[in-house]
Amino acid sequence: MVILKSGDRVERGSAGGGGRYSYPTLINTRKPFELADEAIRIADVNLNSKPCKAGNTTVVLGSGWPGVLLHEAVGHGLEGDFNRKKTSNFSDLIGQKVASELCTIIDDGTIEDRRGSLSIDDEGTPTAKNVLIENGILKGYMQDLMNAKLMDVKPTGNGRRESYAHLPMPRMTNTYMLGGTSNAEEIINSVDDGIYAVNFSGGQVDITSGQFVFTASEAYRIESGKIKNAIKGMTLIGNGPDVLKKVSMVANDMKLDDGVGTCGKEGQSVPVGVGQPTLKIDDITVGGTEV
Amino acid sequence: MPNNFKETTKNLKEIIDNLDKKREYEFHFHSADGADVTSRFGDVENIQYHNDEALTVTCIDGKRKGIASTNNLSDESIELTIEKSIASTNNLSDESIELTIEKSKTIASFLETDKHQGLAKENLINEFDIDCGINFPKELSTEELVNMTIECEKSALDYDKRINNSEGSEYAYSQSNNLILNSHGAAGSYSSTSYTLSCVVIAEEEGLKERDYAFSTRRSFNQIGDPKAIGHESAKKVISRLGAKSISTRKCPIILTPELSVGLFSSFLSAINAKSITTRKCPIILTPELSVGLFSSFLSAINGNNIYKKNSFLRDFINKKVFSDHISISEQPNLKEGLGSRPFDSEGVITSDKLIVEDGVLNTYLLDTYSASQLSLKSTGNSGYSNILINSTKPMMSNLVESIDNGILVTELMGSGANMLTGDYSRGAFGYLIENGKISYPVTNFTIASNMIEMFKNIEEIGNDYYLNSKIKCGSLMINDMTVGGN
Repeated sequence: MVILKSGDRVERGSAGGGGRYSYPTLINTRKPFELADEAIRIADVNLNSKPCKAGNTTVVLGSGWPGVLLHEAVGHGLEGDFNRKKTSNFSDLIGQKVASELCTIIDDGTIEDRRGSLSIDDEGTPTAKNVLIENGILKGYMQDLMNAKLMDVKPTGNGRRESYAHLPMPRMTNTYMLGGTSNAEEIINSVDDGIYAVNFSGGQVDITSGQFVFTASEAYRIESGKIKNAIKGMTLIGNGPDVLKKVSMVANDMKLDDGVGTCGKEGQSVPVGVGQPTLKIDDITVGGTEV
Repeated sequence: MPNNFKETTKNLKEIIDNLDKKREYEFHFHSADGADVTSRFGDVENIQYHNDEALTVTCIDGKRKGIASTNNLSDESIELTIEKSIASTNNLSDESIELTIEKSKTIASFLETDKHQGLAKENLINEFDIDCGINFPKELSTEELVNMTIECEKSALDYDKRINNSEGSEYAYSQSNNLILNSHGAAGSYSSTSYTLSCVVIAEEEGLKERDYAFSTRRSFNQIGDPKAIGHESAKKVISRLGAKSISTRKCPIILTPELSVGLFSSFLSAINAKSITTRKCPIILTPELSVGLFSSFLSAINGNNIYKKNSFLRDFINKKVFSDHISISEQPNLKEGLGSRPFDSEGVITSDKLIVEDGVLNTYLLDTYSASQLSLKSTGNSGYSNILINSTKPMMSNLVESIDNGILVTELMGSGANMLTGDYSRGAFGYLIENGKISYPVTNFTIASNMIEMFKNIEEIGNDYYLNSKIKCGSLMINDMTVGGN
């Protein structure tokens, strides 16, 4: 994390990375320097950012870490415990259309070196590449042993716990959306007036109503298909299933994040991965200080 | 004081007294045991018991700091933990302790010296088993606990037939013991208890689901209140959320208000079909619960560790006006049954009453030994903070909604949109539109935004509807000139 000052303004930028590889893999490369450069770049961008206008607009999400939006807005609602109790917004919707047909969302604990990867989950079930949503159709939930048994389905290798002192429950591993057919530039060019959100600092979801909130740490205005000035203090707010239906373009640049995600649920923290291609959401509510 | 805690205290005191005098040592020991019971639809969902203990050893050697901890309190394990905490690598072999770990494996071999490192030396506690009115152990059978959660949930499920699902009711109990010892003479211990009963229910109307919760956390079992009342409160809250709609962007005052009074409007609200409003600037009211959150951001902004790193929007505000004249904020560490009460901070420094904000002016930062040294000041006994009270010299009303013509009562905030460096604030919200001093309808899918420096100055009124589930004691807040982003 770095703090930059220019005149009266101070802004910060942060960057990080990690994964399930050895320590030298991280420190014996240029990686630490690249991360420092990236933190400085983000702080610099924010030093010149302008207040964000509140209201509804079109938002283009960048590839990689913005996939945290899928994790929060969709992923949690597809965890087995909430669906066994039918407290999720996605309860009883298997086989139904819950997203635009451009959306295929996967949870995969088997990807090599990734922060959310495990060979077996914390109950001994091998992890797997589980398709959650395929071309917009809800395919399945993520399960631990108990909830799988109570719902009469197979465990999916998602039973995780923070430590020996905690009970296992259904948790995500690496959750991401598959790439589409558009390219990123084409998507930005298609927006007349909107926002390009490249990075987020955090988010939260109410799995019952589907309501979610995200705060961008790096975002820009898009005017007439061109990326313009950086904007600050932007918050995205919406409803998971609603927003998924508004995904109108998906690029072919799927990217997983750099390995910084930690997911919290019922007081337990576990490392996770997220990812997605550049994608466009029509009409989402944005918060900011300008009326 | 439980017997095994007494023995551990005696044992650890003996060990620290016999350690070498070349280095500084601190022992922090914490043990806790308790139960956690969850019921759902009248059946047990989960029963957990826990009984943990942990010793954390901090060693300062040659201005290098090392920390090691263990859950194993055998003599060998304690000895190994002390060895591992030793920060200096220069003279590992000449000490009273026989070191069994290789030099290259000590974390300290990677450390630079830091002239600000050092343990607390002044104003240290010197009393064991201090009674500060926060320890009320009570034995309850598992059956009693289960019945209590079932009763709590049932009162919520019976409240309204639109409440058709539940995440259950949970009871949690913990009795914990704290001990601090350091080589400059700090020696103190105390015990405390904590009881929590909560209920989470889901209501559905026209295919739309909402969830809400209520809970009570107290030091004494007798104070958590009637389980039925907690169930009722969760039910009222969830019903009041039904029928919420979007609003348009606006700037307005917000009120952050009493959770309970929200329930009073519930039946009325649920009958109304909400409408859209436009983006605007207006006053908002934050509920006491949310107000507590805003003040915890304030306390984090005046934490010495954020100040010396210049990572705080209040880094240049000492002796300056942060709030308007009518607001004062004090710390009172010795309140009976206080959720934050404690006789000393986590470094063994005695914490006493202090006025943090007086007539709106920031009197002091919250400093621990390290940040105090960085800032050339003295520790304020704030390695952590205790009970915080927010007061206003204006009349503190029980219902702030009546004082607003046009604004929004915010009952829930989501997302982490509070930037501690710049003070920029932008969060997702749920609440109720206020028109002519009355709640008019529930609204969802909007954001509130401003900058915390402005928000603090714009706190116009504080209610006396205190939130009792937190160590920060605060009522509703009315804040002027917030930007509300709708559609």
